[in-house]
Amino acid sequence: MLDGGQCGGNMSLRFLDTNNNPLPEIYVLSMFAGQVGQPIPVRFECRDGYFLFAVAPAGVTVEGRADGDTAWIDLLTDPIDLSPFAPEVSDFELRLTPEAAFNDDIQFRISETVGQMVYNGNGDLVKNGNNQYVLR
Amino acid sequence: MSFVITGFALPEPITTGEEATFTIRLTAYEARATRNVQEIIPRLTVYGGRLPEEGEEIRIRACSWQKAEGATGIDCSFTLADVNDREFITKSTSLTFEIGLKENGTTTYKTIASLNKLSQVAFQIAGNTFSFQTVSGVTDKLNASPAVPLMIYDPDKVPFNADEIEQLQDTEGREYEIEAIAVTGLTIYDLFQEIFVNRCGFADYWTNIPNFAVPQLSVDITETYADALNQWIEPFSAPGSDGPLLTETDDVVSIHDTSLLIPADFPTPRDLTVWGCSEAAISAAYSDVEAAKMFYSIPSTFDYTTNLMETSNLPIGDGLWRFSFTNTLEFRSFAQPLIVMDKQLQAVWEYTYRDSLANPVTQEQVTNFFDRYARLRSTLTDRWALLPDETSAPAFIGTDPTEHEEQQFTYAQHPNSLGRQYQQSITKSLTGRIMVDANNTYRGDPFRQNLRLAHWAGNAEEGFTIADGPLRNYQETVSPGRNGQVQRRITDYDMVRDLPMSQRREAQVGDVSLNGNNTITRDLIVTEDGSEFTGGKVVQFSVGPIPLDISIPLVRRKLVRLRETRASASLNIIGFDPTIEAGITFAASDLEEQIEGNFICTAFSGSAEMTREGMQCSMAVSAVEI
Repeated sequence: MLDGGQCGGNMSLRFLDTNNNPLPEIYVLSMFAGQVGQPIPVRFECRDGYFLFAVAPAGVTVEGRADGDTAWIDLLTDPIDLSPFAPEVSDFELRLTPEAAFNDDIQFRISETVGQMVYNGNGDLVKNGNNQYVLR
Repeated sequence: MSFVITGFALPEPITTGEEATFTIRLTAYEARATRNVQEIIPRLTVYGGRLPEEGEEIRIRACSWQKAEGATGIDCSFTLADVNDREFITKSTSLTFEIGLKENGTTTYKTIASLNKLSQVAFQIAGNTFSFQTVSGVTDKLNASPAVPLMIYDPDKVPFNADEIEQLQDTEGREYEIEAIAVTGLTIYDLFQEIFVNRCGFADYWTNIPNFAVPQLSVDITETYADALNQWIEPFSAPGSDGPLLTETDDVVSIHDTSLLIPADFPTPRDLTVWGCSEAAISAAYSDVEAAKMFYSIPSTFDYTTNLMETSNLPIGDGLWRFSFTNTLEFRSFAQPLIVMDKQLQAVWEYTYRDSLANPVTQEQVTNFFDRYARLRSTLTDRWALLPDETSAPAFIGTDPTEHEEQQFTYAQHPNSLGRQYQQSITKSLTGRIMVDANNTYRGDPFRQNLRLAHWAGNAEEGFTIADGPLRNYQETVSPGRNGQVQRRITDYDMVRDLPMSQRREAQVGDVSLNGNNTITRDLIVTEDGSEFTGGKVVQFSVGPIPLDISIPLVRRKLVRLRETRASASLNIIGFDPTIEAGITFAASDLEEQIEGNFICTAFSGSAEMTREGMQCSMAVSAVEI
């Protein structure tokens, strides 16, 4: 069982597991290329005006959906509007599909602001001092 | 009954600008068509000496390799197919050792070891056997030390002053300054960047240890960076491990918190088929452990204080009572408001009275003041005593204090210890009632005495007058030396008679230093889910100075690991798996597809030997269950 202070962001807005325990900031997962990942169940407080989206380098498909929905939504291009779920704590599922050999961070965010990704001169995503992707 | 509480307001909840993030570190491997039937091709290529530039492949009959936990390089040994090939192996030889995996007609090579010049590593040739041990690795890089003493600190949390540090000197009189780096809001990630990347030569770092504030890190030239960092990262590991798992891939160092478990209902990592698994559970005796006694040290910087007020009223005989009131400051943080980080006595009022508080005999009020590092800065004391007035009427306690004492404390940077301070001086000044006795002259002037002392000695006869003024000044200064001694200078001056009572200098053996961050060590009972401790089995964990909002979940994870007897395991694999690296995660199952568990690899070894059926290979993986 995990508890307390492990998630990014402020104390009250957190990604939780299905036992309502805060998730660790970083979860390590290994897969085979081309393998469609098993759904990752997460739970969080939905607020009016907030979105769920993801930031990731090329080479992986990142999807999400509300629990009970059938269609998967590409979280890299289509943020999920959480307003219709507000103010409830709702269940969602996340899914990863690496297209080829891949070794990098995929970041999920719940935020009011859906920013654009920032790339450096090498074409890599820029991270801040907290190892989080920088959005513009 | 209803209450109306006024006088304070609860803080408004933060409703805007919040953001939550959750990161998945994904490693995806190329899927392989076959997993149990493999053609293994070890390849040892040597370069240099009189060999052509493209190198010479040396045929081998058997080989083995081992990467031990801690990633201190890799050990390789070979049995040469032709003993004459040993002539190619000299001190100036460079080499590459690879294992090729032929699948679907294509051979893919995985580099096991690659090094320049055998003379730079430990190697041995005896008969047809050849072995070497590479020296590159995380531990070797971290074993570096700074060229001059290094201090990285948060100026808002540590009162560091580089100017007061005594500089190092060499035999020729050269002086070496320390390197001090002030970083406001210093965090463990800042330290990782500075130590791993800027000083140890890694291209980058990665970690799943959460970020947290760090007040200071000092590294002496006799210390390694690894030793200095250890106090901050050592607790982030599964019970029984010495610290987090450090691995290196493509010049990126990874610091894995091996206490982390896969959250509920999450997908397991990719599967790794094993033919044997020997699980080394820590001990079944831990399965019923209920709680942990967590030892932690806390910085004295705090977010806010609360007051703990206590009173007592006790008879002390002959109709006398002593009433005392104490106010204790409780230092707390916003992250863990239920936990008192530290306590300091802030005020003490004591009254000795006869029958009723309206008939006091003595009173004393002590008030302490602290600086922003929660160090005692000054103490004010007021004392009231039964004293006669100028008419020598029955003694009474007046409105004004009989004596007023002020104590001031100063602190300074320890000259020989980067991360430490010391209490530099104590100054006391005492003022109060002075009896001026015109009937008793001394060298032509009325004799002056401390009224309280004169009264208690029976010298307060009628005819004196009372003045207020300084009674006594006391100063004690301390300076630490390099010889383990402390020089203490004390001046005690009687201000009434204008005479020094004591003026001395003394050397004492001892250490007067304080941790620069004024750290206090405490302990706390931690249960797995915060439930009340009922007296069951308790284990101990030390988490050092890691903040409580990080260390409490960490200890809870360790408790879970103990209760479920998750521990380390040794897994055996038939054949060669090129994806095995220290730090990778996998779900291990045996050939009957019975899941054994989810693991993170901490060390591995492999061996290959030529047989009549071809090259036979097997690997062993040491892993910690997650």
